[in-house]
Amino acid sequence: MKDFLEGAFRMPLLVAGEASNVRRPRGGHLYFTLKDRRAQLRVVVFSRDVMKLPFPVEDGAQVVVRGVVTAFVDAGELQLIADRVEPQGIGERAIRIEALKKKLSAEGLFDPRRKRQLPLLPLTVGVVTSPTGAAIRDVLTTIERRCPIVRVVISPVRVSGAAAAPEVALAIRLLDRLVRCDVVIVARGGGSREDLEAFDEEAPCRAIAACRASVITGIGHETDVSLADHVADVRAPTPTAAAELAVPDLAKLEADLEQSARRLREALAGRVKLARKRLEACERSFGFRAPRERVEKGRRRLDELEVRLARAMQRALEQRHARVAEVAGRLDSLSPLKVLARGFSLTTKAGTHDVVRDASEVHFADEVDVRLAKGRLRARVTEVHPERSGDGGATA
Amino acid sequence: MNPETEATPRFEDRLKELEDILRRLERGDLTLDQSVAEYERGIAALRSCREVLDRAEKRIEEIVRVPERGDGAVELRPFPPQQR
Repeated sequence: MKDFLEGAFRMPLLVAGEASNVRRPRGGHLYFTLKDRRAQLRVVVFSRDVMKLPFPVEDGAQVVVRGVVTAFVDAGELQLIADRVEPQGIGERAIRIEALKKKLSAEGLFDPRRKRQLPLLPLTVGVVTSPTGAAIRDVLTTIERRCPIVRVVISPVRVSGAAAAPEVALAIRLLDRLVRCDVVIVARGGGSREDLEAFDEEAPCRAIAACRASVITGIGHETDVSLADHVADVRAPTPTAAAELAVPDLAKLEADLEQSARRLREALAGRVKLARKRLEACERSFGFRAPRERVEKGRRRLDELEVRLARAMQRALEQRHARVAEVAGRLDSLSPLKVLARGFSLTTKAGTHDVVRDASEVHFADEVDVRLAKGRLRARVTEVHPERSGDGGATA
Repeated sequence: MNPETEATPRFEDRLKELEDILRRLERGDLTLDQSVAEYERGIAALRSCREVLDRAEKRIEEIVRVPERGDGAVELRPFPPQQR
């Protein structure tokens, strides 16, 4: 039975009641009986845990005890081995929160690995908070100051009282599913620890964990840390700080873009300048210059040859002219006209240019033309004396 | 996806792309052709970032319950300025 009981109640239990019959023998353990109007339960707190109790347990104190059940076989009773004893009220709340924290932690809700990154530029920001009060004003003015281009959707809730926890949970779900915010701010202005208790409840924690958008909490003051803060992707100390984390500083973002544009231009300009420098260096290099110089040299030689060619042509022409003049002179001296001038005559058959060189070429009564140095005769052959004896000639 | 929120990852991706391009370009070991191509991609990324900023529209709304429609029906209404 002992095994069965201890197996069945391995999980720690929270039991509230009035402490009575409080004893602390020399062994150091603390024994008392916890009772309410109808039942009672024996409680033992081992000495190592007694030291850690926040207050001395006295008869009649209203307390909440956390412990595991064990069977006290000899007395035939159940016994609770407790490690925490808290006064009811605040203490009870603290124990409840502690238990919830353990549970959520065991489920991995606080795991840093499941925390979502905040978007750099959310276009839609959801805000879960009271529609009146300082928190909403702080959030709106901060967003307006830093990034007045985002759409803000407020999901108004009560942030105190029993209705707060379910309302906050629903508001987060609405902003995530209905509005599809990029980031959700859960905000509440400062208050007493009890004022913030809605954020230590399970429903808001689970809604934050299930939210697809990143969640930033800004609840109470710097020193207040709720369970919701632990589940959130980012915990901001105040609503203003939450808004600052939610949206970027637009002026800085624009300046950064401007700077990037400048860096782009300068990087390319630098690269082009480098390329130009290398090109110029290549142009100046000997390897590149040598062939060009050979071409230049060839061109100069060509020019020179052209000049020489022109001169040679000129000379050749002049020589030809001189020769032509000389030939012309000689030709002149051979001209038949000069022969005629010396008294010779030229006989051709009449009306032709057939020069008569032999008397036998003409016959009696043929007409011949006789060309003299000055003028011409037409004559008729009256006698023909072909050359036999050596005398010859025609007589007109 | 909601078209209004799609711009958000695009902005971040493009900004990241822009930073990567700048890093490559400023390292100076790209060929001239590659540099020109990277520069053009950088300008495109820059432009699309600016477009997101230019198109973003400021407005403040609140989720309001519509009891007459019942069943937890809600709608979005402009958030009254006097409450800001």
